[in-house]
Amino acid sequence: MGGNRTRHLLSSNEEAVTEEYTALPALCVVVIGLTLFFLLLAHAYAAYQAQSETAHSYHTAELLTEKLLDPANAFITPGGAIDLASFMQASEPLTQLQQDYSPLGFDFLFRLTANTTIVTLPADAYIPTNYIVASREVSVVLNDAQTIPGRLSVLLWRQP
Amino acid sequence: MPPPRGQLAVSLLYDTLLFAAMVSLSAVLLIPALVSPLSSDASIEKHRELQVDDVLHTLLVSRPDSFSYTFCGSLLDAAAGRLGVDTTSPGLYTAVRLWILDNEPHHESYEALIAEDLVSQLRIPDGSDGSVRLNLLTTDFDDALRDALHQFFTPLFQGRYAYNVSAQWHPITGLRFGGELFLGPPPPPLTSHVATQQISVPLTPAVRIGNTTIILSQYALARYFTALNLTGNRSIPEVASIRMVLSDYQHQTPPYDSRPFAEAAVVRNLSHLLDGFLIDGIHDTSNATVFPGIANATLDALLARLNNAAQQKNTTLYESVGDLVRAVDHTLSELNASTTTPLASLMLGHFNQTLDSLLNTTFPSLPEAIAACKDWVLNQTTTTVHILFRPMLEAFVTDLFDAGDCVLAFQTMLGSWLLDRLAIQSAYVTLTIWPVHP
Repeated sequence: MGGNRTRHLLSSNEEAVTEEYTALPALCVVVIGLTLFFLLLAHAYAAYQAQSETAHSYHTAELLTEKLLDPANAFITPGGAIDLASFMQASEPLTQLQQDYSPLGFDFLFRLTANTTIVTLPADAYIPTNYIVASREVSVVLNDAQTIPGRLSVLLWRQP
Repeated sequence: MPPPRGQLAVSLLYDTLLFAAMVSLSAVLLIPALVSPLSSDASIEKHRELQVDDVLHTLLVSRPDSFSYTFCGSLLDAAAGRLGVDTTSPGLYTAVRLWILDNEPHHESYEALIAEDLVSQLRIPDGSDGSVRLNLLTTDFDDALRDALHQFFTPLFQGRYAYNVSAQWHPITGLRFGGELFLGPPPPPLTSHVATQQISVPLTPAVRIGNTTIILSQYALARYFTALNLTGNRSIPEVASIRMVLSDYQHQTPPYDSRPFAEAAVVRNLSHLLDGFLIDGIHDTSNATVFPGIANATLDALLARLNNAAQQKNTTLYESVGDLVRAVDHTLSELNASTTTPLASLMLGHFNQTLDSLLNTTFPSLPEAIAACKDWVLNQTTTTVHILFRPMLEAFVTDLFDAGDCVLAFQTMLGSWLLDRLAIQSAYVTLTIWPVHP
């Protein structure tokens, strides 16, 4: 045992084998490293989870817009446009859709924007902040003379 | 017990540093999973694909709020410009021009407007790669339509996407005869999304053959060919020779027992038949017209419209153009002194300008100019058709000879093969969008 040992913490020393005072910092580094690593892993997993959930919700919202634009619906005109007047009356099929999706944990509302007109169905819905939107460009029949471009959006969120 | 002695020992901290390095490395490997936009990128891509389809569909069924164009606007501007009238400032000329000649197709969808514009253009191939617009009465239609489309897309994309619209109506597929409308810069090759839709055009050229009148559409033509027994009709020289060559080849009768020789003979005759079908008409042995030719008939229908519009006297159009021209300047002697209508003279001037650049000749009257134009177009079309359809023709003949019974194959395949070259009632509108990064 000599005085060099403390001077050369990180080097081999032909005069000694045990290094009891270096073991503690080494253990510290390992523990911190492992903690950070697991944190990162957890974060990555959470991020992946969140992303896939978002993607899933987005696909659901997209599917809903597709269902809404189905030519079989009463408010879709032969050209594939949305008739504004009948869309505003169409709460019954929409309620049906909402009931269908409720068991899956989804809640949503529809919004049709055309020029300055904004129609939200159902009109009195409470909208949380963390919703996901899928939009489609549609044409909106205002009356027999006016058909203008508009946007149909589905705002979708998970029920708490 | 004495402690073991060694010359080569490594500090424990080396292990730790190695461990720390490995952990960092795995963290680096994990980072892409944390920040990778891969899945959202895929969603965005898909969204854009869907969006371009939706936007195009929305465009075609929407109606512009107000749309108007001035009939023969550019012609009048040119004429008035020659007389020294200022056509750019809002003055009496502009007011009168708008008041009398403005055409407002209200409540028409963009689809109808585009289709109408395409049919009104009367574009002909100019011999090189481009095309020349013959109908100058409606050039303002193009400009107004481009403006309207621009007004449609600007609020919709709000600067996030750049767009390119191209609409084409080519009655004979691949030949630049018909109408074209282009808007927007050329799209980048990799990052753009494309949607195409077919629209129908408001034109039904009808031809009279003998005692029957048929409308030039694929359906009506198919019926007519069946009734005519086109593939078995021995009075049409081309059909008769093709059948003879094919049956000789099948029975190995000289001189058509060798395949290359027989193929060349069929290609030659089929090329004549295709020329006849598309351009100048199919004739039988007594030189009677069996079918007048698609380009011929379509061109007749379009030119007749143009000629009628220009020649009609005592119509509102004539009077209004005359009034306008007089309002512009009373000393418009060069127009009023002529026996034709002012409109016809204006058009003749422009026709002559076009024809002069193409043929180096000018004509004294509009009907003559139109007739010369038609001849030139048919000639031009023949050349282009030969270049364009040669490979398809050869492929078709190879198919015929590959089929077991080539006479039967000829009978069943010829009609649909000929009709596949046509798209008389359909135009195609293509929208390309690509994201703009500010």
